[in-house]
Amino acid sequence: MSEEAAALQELTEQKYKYGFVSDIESEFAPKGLNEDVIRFISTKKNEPEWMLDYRLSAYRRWVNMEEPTWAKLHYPKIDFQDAYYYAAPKAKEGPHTLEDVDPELLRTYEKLGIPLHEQEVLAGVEQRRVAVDAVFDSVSVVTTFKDELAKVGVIFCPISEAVHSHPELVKKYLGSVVPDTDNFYATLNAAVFSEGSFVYIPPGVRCPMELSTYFRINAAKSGQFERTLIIADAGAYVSYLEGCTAPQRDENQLHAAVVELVALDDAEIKYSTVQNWFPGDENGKGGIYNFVTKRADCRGKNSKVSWTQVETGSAITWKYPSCILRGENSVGEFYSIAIANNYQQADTGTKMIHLGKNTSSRIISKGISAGKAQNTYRGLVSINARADGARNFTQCDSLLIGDQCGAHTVPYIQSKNPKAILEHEATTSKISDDQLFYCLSRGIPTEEAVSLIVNGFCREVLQQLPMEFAVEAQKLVGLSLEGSVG
Amino acid sequence: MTDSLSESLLGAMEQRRGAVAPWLGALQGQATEVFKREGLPNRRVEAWRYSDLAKALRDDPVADATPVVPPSLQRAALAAFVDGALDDNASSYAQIGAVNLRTALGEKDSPLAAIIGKVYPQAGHPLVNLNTALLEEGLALRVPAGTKLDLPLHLRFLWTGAGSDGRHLRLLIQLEEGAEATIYETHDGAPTFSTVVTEFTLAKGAKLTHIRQESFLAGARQAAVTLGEIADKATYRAFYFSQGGQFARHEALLKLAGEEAHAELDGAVMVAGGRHCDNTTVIEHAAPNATSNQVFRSVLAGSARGVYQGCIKVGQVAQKTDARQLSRALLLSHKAEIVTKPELEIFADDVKCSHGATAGELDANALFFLRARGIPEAEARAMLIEAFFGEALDKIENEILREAVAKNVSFWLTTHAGEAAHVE
Amino acid sequence: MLEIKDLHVNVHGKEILKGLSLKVPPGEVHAIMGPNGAGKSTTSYTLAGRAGYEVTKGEIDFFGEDVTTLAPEERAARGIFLAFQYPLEIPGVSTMNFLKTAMNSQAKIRGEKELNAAEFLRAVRAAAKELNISEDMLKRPLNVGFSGGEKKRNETLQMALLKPKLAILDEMDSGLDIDALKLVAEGVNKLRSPERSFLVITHYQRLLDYIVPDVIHILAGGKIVLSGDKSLALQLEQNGYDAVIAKAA
Repeated sequence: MSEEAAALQELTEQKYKYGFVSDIESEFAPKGLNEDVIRFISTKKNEPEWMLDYRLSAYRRWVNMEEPTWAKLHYPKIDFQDAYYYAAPKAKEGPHTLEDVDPELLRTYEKLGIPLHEQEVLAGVEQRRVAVDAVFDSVSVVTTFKDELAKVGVIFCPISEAVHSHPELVKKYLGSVVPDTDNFYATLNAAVFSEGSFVYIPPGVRCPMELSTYFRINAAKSGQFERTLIIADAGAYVSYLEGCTAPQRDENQLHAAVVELVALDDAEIKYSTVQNWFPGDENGKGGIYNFVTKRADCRGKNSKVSWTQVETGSAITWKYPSCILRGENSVGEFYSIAIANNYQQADTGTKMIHLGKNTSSRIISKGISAGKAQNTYRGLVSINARADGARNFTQCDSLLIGDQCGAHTVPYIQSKNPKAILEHEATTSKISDDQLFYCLSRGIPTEEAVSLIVNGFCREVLQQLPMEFAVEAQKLVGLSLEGSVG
Repeated sequence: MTDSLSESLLGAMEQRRGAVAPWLGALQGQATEVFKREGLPNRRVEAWRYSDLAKALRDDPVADATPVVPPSLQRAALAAFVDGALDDNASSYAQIGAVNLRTALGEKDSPLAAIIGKVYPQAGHPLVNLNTALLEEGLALRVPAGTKLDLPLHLRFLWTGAGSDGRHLRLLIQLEEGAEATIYETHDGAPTFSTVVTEFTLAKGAKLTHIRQESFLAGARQAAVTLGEIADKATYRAFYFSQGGQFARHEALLKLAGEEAHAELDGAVMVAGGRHCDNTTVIEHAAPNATSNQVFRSVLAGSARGVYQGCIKVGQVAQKTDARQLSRALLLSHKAEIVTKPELEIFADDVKCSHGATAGELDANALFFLRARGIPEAEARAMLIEAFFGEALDKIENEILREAVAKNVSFWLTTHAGEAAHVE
Repeated sequence: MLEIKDLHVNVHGKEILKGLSLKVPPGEVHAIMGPNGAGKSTTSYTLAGRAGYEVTKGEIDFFGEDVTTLAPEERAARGIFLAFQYPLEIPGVSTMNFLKTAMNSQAKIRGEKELNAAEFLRAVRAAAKELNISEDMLKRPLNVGFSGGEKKRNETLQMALLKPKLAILDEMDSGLDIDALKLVAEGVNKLRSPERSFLVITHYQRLLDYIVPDVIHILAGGKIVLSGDKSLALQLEQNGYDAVIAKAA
């Protein structure tokens, strides 16, 4: 091993920072999945009848569905009966204020660096305020700034609460973007989802602060099935952040989320994710299996949805945040950094479905493969015959670090419209020796040089993140190349 | 395997087996077993999702005019196929040492036994397999080391419709070290259903130029596969012209097996009416320092559907690969469609690979410029479409062949002037 | 020959020309000068009939005929020629083929006899020699890989061959050094005749040292605010657009 390589390895051999386990007494649903378990979840959430019916109907469909196999992912068959579909910290009924929350839980979030005290956040002069919904396994622990948001009409609460407090909105929009028939994992989620956030921004309101949900898987052998629903009514704007971590465990844990976004006329939603689930160790042991369906419906004219994702975690990633550009002049964006190291496998990308006139989309994808990882960009751009004036620009770049990994690009580009313009570019390369040498000759150590170059490679995407996240993400990009040989 | 079409194909396969030399019987027997398992390619198979052969064969055939016999080329060795049968009397291929495959297949100890079905991975390929199970005609050409053929070999296929159902041909081309050859393959008329599989091997430093020109009538149903292995310093240069048919698909599956091997593919697709045209390529870089470059240009009018699937695979040993791929499509109608799937599958790190894809209409600025100089819109559009293919045509070295292909481009523009003149 | 009456033009829904009026008699050279954003390019594109330049009011008369709604090629055939600020590169179309098609198309629309190959070649060679354009340039694809000067010489060549009645020179000097500018201006001056008018559109006075206009118009805010003889250009040079426009208003 060269000196450079050794230095790089040393730097990156920092272990997963969030792999600790919190000692919390939890309550579980019986292991496995059947109609009784679904009734158990529904009862725990004290749900109305229509919600239980929704779940059962999805479950009955799911048992007859087959897992998709088209992705470039290889993993042993998942035993869906060998997991807990509900796990929650034992606590008093409905802890809605911070004083009611188990101190061990608070310590956990402190360790994760998630601010749950409103006043603390307020004290920081230069820091922008972020409202947080903290989801721990299958329940929401606390949601901050709810009252302040309510003053401007913004609803920000756990989805289980929204089912009771705003049933008309939930009924109207839940499953309207990702129907419960959509795909194997989305159907599973519809049957067993336990927590997630609900956001509604009323017409003309610009949400006064960033909203965020922080997902933490803690309990062993449990899956997490979050469900997020965000509605931006006419002329509304919201920026939403999502973060996630999980303990380091030897067995694989399942995470199958569904996120639905609805943007009405002139509305804008900016959705950012820093996905940092436990990726498995350097030998490929453990890690989260992440099967996620995220989709936005740009229903209104001039609406805009922007997805930004930094994917560094999970053993398996199967995720394609998409936009249905239905409204005239609507805009869809997808900015992605996907890093796969060690034995990680990522198959991720986006779908941009242009239905309305003068719709436009932009896809910037940066894939980085290191170690023995496989990283695939998979995307679809589809232009309908009615979508005159539609525009798409796609740029997919892959970077390979080491000769044991793979980088793949599988775009599907379909146009039925002569008045639409599509441009797609993709490149694959390695870190250039010249660039590396240039940095070294200026006295920058190898590890920093690699981090610098990789961050440069990702710059267009990092720029899209809200500032607090961008700094964190930049560090994460460097750290995620753990054990890679330059 | 439940439909009657598959049943009848299987019947033909079984029947054939008893009637051929044992070595061929064994080969075709294996292929028949695979066919029993896999059946006809259909859209449930990823590689065929946009081109459902099974469905196209079940659909009613499109009625066609009588095909015109294409003119013979001056200065070429001719292999004249009529409805898949090689007409020796009309041909002159023997002068460059090519042999009739029908004769060679019939021999008990045929030297072909050692080479047929050996090029590149084809075991799992449903179409190649179907062709293997039923092949009975074709041509074999071996060019000895150091020999440069002066005359191009013109493989002229005329399909009259009626007699062309179920014709499955195989072309075998071997270029030994340093050999050079040019093949001009033309298809006219409309086969009701035919398959053509070409297997070629290029030894060190060999150079093959392959010009493939499909000028089918609207009712043509053909699936063709070109399989090639390219050794070190050898070059495969191809120009594929296609105007589609009821079902027209050509696949080029190439393996760059030696260092500094090179593949250069240009595609010109001009499709109108309700035709379907599929170009699929897989280029596998299996050795270091090999290069490949592909540019596919498509013009789609009427309610035509154009498909381009191009995969570049780079194996772990193939360091210093330079592979490029570009698809450019012009849509002339709201009913036409282009589907592009440019795929990269890369396992080596020190590579330069790229692909690009564009779709849209003719450049509005260029169109205005021409019109501002007094050129009427329809003519200006035709000029720009012709220019769109110009760069690819310029790469054809043989002047006679270049003009023959250029004539096809102009002819298409004349016959489809209405569709090309404005956007529907 | 050219009369523009109260022309209003929208581009992407925004009004750029707001009542432009102008008369150019035969044989005269008129210059339109104006600051950035005044509507200079819009004027030249609208006269040539480019799609997207929507005339909402007013008209363009050419030899007494209203050409406002004619297609670009119809206008070209009537003798309107636009020398582009940025001539297009068109790969795959050879310059020779382009010239021939343009000349013959115009002849056809006018109902004139098309040139035969020999006549065409003679005409091109003669014109090319005058403008110092090499055979090699003529063989290459249209403007592809041409320098800025070569492109403008190529525009001048086309003007010489197509013999327009009105030549609109849109920022003819942009991208040219002084030697290239002289060469192009010389070519243009040779084409001046009592039957041919010019509309020279420019930001800078420099070009007008070489192509001397009979009349100068100042375009600002989408209309002509001031017209005068060539001394107007010197006023602009000394005092700048703001001062001259303010004075006019």
